[in-house]
Amino acid sequence: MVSPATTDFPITFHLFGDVAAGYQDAPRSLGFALGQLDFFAQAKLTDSFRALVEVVAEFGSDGTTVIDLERVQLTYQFGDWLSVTLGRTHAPFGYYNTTFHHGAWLETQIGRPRPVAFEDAGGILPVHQTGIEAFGRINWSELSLGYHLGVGNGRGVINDDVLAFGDRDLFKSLHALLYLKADRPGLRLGGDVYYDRAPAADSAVYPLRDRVIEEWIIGAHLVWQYADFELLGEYYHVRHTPVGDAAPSVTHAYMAIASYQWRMLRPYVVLEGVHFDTNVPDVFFAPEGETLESQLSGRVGLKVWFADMLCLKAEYAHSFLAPRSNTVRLQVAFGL
Amino acid sequence: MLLVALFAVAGTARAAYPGAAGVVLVVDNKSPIQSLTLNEARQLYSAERTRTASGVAVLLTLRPAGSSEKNDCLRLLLGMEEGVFKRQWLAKIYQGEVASMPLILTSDESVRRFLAKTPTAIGILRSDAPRDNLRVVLALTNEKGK
Repeated sequence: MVSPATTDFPITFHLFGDVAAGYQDAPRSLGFALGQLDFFAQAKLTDSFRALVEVVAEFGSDGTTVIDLERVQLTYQFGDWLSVTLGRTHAPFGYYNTTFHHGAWLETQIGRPRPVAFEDAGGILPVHQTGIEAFGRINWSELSLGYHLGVGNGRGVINDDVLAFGDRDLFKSLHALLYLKADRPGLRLGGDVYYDRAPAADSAVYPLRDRVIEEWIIGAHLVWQYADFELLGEYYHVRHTPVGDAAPSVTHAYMAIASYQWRMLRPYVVLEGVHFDTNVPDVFFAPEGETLESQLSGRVGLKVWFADMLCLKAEYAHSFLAPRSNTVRLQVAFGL
Repeated sequence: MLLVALFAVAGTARAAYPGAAGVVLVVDNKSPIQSLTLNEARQLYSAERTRTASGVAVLLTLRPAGSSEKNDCLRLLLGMEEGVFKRQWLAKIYQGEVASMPLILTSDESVRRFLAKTPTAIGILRSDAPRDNLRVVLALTNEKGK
């Protein structure tokens, strides 16, 4: 008998969640934590139109629950070579941000690497974007060329000012990503460029943010998936220049994740770093003159697939720069 | 001790594949899809493309979990087990690149009936199954899939 489900009611629902426990030596802490609960739905409205909605429930340290509307997207697909999406999306930086994003079940390690941290977690990239995006892929035998071109609201006055419901200025952010992928040997190389102008802030609130800031982000990424081995590397150069005669402040960020799938086990290592400019303070990331601490850390861990949709991760992390710390974490994550 | 236990459990997780001749990807005789290259089929079943090289938007189907048709198709075409395939597709759905998993058709008869009413659908049969009114667009044998 023909299964009627996907043709009569073409909508898919998924749910991702996780629970973690961790110990850190400096500052000393030990505890359990609920991760994000991610509700995801996608529907094919016509042969070419589809809609995607993602809502995340997060639990704050003060015990409150926050509901975030993470993505609302309407996509029209002309073909594999061109799709156009309108709405709030995961900004197409590199490979990691669109491939994993929310849903601990999808990620190899525990938590996002520092260079692609969320805006409200001190991240340096505008990883969410509201606007319009064209993307596609042109396939030639075992080689494909992919691209994303986007126009959006861009940055607000500070890092965590994510503009989902309008913009604070007339200038729109511009974003372009290009990558080349070879099925054999499973290699993807790409680069992206992002340009925006963050509006000046109310000087009574943020005295250091009295000028428009010009922002350039240049990124490069490499993904190598060979048999059961995967290597992922990303680099970002973030340049903030207050309009006028001010000198630019440059932040460098990088990450590398190597993992190997052996049956139900996936051991992995992670190296991640963010280095802020020590000569010119970045007034966009630190609008109140706070000190920005560069970070460099490494992790080793093991991900165990107990079932297709259930995994356990165990991880040790060490922070190489002051304040140095050691962390041990366990996480159980599921995807339905 | 925990690691020893994990490795012992991992050792039992290896999939057992039947040593059959292979499977064929089929479409209805009225389908606009004439044939597929191995690369096209790999990219379609990896959710790396949604259309054939000639521009036909394809509706993919698969056989139920654990069936020899599905196991052989995934092994010969993609070189992966069902769990990895499921996780890879769920990741693609999450990225918004595809709308849903391939449709599951439970029997040879359901493949024939569904393909007859859906000209752009691709079905999977064992290579020795009857193929009345169906056209083979790609044969996957043990030799070709290696």
